[in-house]
Amino acid sequence: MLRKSLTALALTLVAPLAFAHASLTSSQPADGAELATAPTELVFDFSEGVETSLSQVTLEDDAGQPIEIGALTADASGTHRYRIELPELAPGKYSVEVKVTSVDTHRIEDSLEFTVQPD
Amino acid sequence: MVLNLFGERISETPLQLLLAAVRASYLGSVSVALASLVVAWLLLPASLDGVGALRRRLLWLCHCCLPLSMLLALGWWPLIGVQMTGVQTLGEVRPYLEVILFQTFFGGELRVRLALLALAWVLVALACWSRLNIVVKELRGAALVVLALVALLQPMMGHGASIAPGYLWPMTVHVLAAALWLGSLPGLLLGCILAPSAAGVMLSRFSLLGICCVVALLISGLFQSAALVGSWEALFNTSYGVLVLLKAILFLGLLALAAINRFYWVARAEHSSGGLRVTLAIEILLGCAMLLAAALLAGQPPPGHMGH
Repeated sequence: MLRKSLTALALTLVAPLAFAHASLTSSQPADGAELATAPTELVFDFSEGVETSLSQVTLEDDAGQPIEIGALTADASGTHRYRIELPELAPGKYSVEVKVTSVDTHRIEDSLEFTVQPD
Repeated sequence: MVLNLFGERISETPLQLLLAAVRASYLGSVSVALASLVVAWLLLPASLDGVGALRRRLLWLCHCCLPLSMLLALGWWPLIGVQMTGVQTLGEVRPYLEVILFQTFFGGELRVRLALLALAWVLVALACWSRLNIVVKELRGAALVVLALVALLQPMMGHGASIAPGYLWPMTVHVLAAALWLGSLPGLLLGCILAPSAAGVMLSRFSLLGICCVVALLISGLFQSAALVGSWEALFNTSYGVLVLLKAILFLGLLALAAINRFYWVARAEHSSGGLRVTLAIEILLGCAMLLAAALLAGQPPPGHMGH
């Protein structure tokens, strides 16, 4: 017990900042989703509110080329849901990098992929 | 992540420790400012040898702590900016400072806090040097309320910003009680040194406040621990839980010393205050350790549900 406690205390002193307080709980499209029609927006649900002014969400196609997207905006519902408008996406695989800051000042980093594959 | 601070490459751990040190120092200086006023204006007897000089020293202490608190709050800003933006150096955070100050929840809190600290500084100065004796009581009351508000806002700059409102009250009560209890210790020690004849009365008057603070700390601490730690397993096996345990041990140590003072030294204070000074000095050291533990807790993810 004492050893476990001392280990945990030692870990306290070396815990990285990325030791998440908040997290991305779900997204639309979900990670790994295969979609018949291209999405018109990205929707993120976080476990806490996030600072939209410090958010960095990037979208890349399967060639690694960045695609210009809108800004992260809070959903009108007042929950911890946020949206980004997307341009018209061609069929292909896309990756999304999410780097945001929760209102309690901690950084949240996550990523997801989705594929647009019309029938 | 590597933080290049003062030209040296150091890992993120020093950033977290630096943030904790600044947060603890800030909380300490706000606590001493608030409690010095409480001791000077509410606990000191009116007419005993050395009381006038002691009151002036306590007010001077408050005058020093208020600008120090503002400086520490300003120092907190770029450091937390590194954490909020994920940049590597303090130089890189410079372009974000304005965004952080004016477009984030933390920035809003910081601005309110700086304004309240400046207001408290003015109110204390007016209360000390006002020639209009008629409003001195009101000025003193206003200064105490404003400083209490600053202490109450403290949790909003950490986990309090993202928890359910029902969980915020125990946090704010906890911080205010800790500020009054721990912040009074330097003033009480100063009293034992500068006005030993008044020490007994001063400490007897402090006892009621101290007991109220201890009860508030105990209840709010247990409530928070249950909610934020969540389980016995998390108490022993997570960084957050171990820090809570450390705080509880320090709290018990402070309580034991306070009991020794109350039931042994206070009765002997008028004849010899040496023992009282030693136990108060140890209490101050334990209090500093407790503030540091609390500041480290603010940087750790609570394993409990936090009301989500």
